[in-house]
Amino acid sequence: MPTARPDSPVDPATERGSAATATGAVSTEAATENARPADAAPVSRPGATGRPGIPVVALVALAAVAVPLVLRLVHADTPGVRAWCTVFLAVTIQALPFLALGVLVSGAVAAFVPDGALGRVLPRRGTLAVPVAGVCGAFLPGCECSSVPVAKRLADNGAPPAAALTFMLAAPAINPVVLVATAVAFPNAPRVVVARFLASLLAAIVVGLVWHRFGTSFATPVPGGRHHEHAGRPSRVDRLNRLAEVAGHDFLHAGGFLVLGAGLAATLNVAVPRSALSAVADAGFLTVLALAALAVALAICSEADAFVAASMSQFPLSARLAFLVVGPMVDVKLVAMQAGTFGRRVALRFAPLTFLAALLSAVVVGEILL
Amino acid sequence: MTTQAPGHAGPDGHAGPAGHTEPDGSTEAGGHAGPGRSGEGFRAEWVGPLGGLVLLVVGITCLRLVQTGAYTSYVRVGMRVPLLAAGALVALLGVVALVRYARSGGHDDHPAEAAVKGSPENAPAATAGAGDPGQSGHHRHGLPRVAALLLLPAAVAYLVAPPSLGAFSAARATVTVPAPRALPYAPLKPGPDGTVTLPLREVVERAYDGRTLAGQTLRVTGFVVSPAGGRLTLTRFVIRCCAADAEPAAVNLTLPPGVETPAENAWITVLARWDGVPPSDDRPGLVARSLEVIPPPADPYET
Repeated sequence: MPTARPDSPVDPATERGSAATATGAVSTEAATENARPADAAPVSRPGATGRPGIPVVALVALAAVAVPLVLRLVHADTPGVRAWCTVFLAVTIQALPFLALGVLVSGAVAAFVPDGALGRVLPRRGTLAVPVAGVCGAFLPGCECSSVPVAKRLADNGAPPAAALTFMLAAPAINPVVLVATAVAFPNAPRVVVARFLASLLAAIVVGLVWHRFGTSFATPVPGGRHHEHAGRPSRVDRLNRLAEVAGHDFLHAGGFLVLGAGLAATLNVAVPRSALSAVADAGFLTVLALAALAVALAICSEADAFVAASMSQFPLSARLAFLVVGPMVDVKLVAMQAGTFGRRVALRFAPLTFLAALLSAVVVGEILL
Repeated sequence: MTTQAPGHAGPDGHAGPAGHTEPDGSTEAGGHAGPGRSGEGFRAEWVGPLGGLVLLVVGITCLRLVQTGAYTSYVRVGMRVPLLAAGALVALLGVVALVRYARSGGHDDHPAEAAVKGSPENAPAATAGAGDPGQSGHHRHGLPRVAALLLLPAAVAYLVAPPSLGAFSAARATVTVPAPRALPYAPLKPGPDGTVTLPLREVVERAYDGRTLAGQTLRVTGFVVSPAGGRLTLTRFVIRCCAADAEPAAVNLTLPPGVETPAENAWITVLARWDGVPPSDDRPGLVARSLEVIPPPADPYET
């Protein structure tokens, strides 16, 4: 919708005027309003913030009730369905606190960080901003569910999109909580921790640089920009309102896709027996590839994946490193969330790129260190 | 970044990100995430009463799962406090949205916009927006369609209330238990009744070493997998985070003669001795002395 762009600069001023006087600047307001249908037309655009009417919501809500009812009717003697429900709920519930943390951070950024400030704080040159953002990932002590909404908010606030993506990829893999968990899981192989840190950071930075060079933007001009353009500083109540608003919105948005991904992960978890992997336990690069694919399919929280990797003792360490590097960056749950947050087309290019970078990075670092 | 430069950083020449301009950046953003919110300012992010309801349902479900203790079937016991915090936060966000809706007099718009729309001069503009599929007031707020999916886990939790993972999942998992860690293990000290209560995972780990298990009477708890003719596999899942990463710890159990073989998925506590054979397939053998069928424990997983 390039046509919508020219509106943006005048829009804030118009809004401010009309909000203040309620009747003032009517003609400009009307003009802006008339421009909006075109602006808001692609409501059906893939997986993005649709603004549906009641029927869609009602239909999905109906399905949300009907599906479990059906499951309830058949589940008594269908252990597979029961296991699916358990894993589905488990993934969702496990992610909930981390998602809440993520949207809280996202809301705080929207409410308290001045618009565009991040773009000014980070190095001007993207080639420099990307590694800096990657290292900053060490300071978000959550798993991958937290970092998706935060990354989108950072980009909206003015951080270069490539840097925001790098932050999103690095944070769940290199933050202290995850590294300590990894060290605990591999008490006899501290090099795994170092290798995980380096390989994850490397992959995140490579993806960021590639995206910086060839990728596209997904940032939405900060809605909060208007907020900060009000005369004077916004009051504390204003800011808290804004925080609640953004956090609620981001939770509903990312959470919806999280549920989608959790359902997919549960299906793969139940349908693909882990024992099938034993066939490729000792097949060189195929083993690495198999464990990387397993990481995508299982969608295990990055705070737990080290323990799972540690227990797969039939596989070589280098393959398990690939599991640890790929998992926090690409898995079915994450791809669903990314597709929802950044748009399907971005995710379709971003996910394979990330998978490839994480895989190669793990192979290279594993070759050197393990 | 092109999308941002004109709107915000352009005028003052401080377009920091201008150097990062992507060739087709504006088109991309416009096609996917741009229009819905860019033109509408922060009102578009208000989730409206429906969004508030969904948030409230999710938050309450989360709190309820902790209150009933059902959450232990899905995640670690240690998640109790984070879940309480998250449930309270999400429910609060829902309440805020609903209060806001009530305050705006039942209008589904941001208060400021409600005032604008209420003015008669603005009527044509309101009509212009009516072409949206989600008119009737619901096209203004930022309730993402996909948010309705959040009702699914709540419905599953209330209507299905699935139990912790059982024999079905155990049979399909590779039995893998973390290789023995801190060898050598400390000697076991029997309690007053002469038995040692051990997690199943630790029994498996100690069986590699062997020495510490020899001669001890162990009290272990787990669920029954593939019971047949006085033998069964006593299993318990070990989880690190949630049931998605569950891995079974299992022992081959020989029941005492004359004891009725319990049904699959039944939870039992047994007093047993290690058979003294180093495990070949991660499943040491135990010989039971007595067996008691118990209700599913409050914490069905080991960590």
